[in-house]
Amino acid sequence: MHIKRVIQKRCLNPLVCMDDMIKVMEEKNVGLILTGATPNGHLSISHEQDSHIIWLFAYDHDKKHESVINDKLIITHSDKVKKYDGLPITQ
Amino acid sequence: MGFGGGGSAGMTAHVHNNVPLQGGPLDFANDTIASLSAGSVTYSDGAALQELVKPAVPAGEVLTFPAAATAPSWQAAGGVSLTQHVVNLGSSFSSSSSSFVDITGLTLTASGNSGAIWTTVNLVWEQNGTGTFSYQFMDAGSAVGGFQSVYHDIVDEPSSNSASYLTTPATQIIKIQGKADSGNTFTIHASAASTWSTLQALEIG
Repeated sequence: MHIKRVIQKRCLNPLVCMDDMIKVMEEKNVGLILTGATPNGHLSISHEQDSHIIWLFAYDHDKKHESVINDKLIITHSDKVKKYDGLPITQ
Repeated sequence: MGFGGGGSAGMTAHVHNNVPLQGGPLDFANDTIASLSAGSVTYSDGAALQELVKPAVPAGEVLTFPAAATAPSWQAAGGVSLTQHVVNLGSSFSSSSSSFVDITGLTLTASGNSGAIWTTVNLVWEQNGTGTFSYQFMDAGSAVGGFQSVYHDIVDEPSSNSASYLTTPATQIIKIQGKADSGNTFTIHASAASTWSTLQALEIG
């Protein structure tokens, strides 16, 4: 599953912005792991000033990585990823 | 000399050369007239002079003589046409994905009509931990050459990396994808005065 949001946000340092956002997402969605050796989701951000685009993924299956290209869900094999067993993800 | 003559016998057969009492040389330098269109050129078909008129709407045509042709003609100029595409990353992009994802903003659309496309990408990137970051070209939806996997041992300090590839099939959409191989997050920095994340392509017609 995934959500895409556009939020009004400015950032001077995209690395810091990304790290902060990962912490927020992992705290709000208990059990969601977005980095590390065996993630069960990932986060992508386009840091456009005042219009950050955020994609948050929580994988539905073991070994099936999910992403979106042109609003189409793309599933590829990956030995790294795990299934997310938590509640439906929220912003 | 004039052709009018004066005698009743009319003009005698003659040629145009320097022999006395012949016609004398034709003066082609803005004197001799003929029933030709402006801009046309003449050639011989072996029996008589022929006129090759200029292109109706000239567009750089060149006078050529194709193989097996019996007469010259105007043809489109040969050579190579080049079309350049430049996409500078307008907004920084970050991801924690361990599999390839599109780097939003690094996409260009080529005509697909060229014979070949030379594509090059330069990324100014960094990540929040040591390990490798990989990126690749996507060509019309499929991964193609230019795959790079680069190791980063300085945390939170930008690196610059470039790759190029040449493709010959018709190509429409060229993208760059990236992934964090070592459980990190990576960031591609937007193009600015001190950074230069860009995707460029040269279509060779």
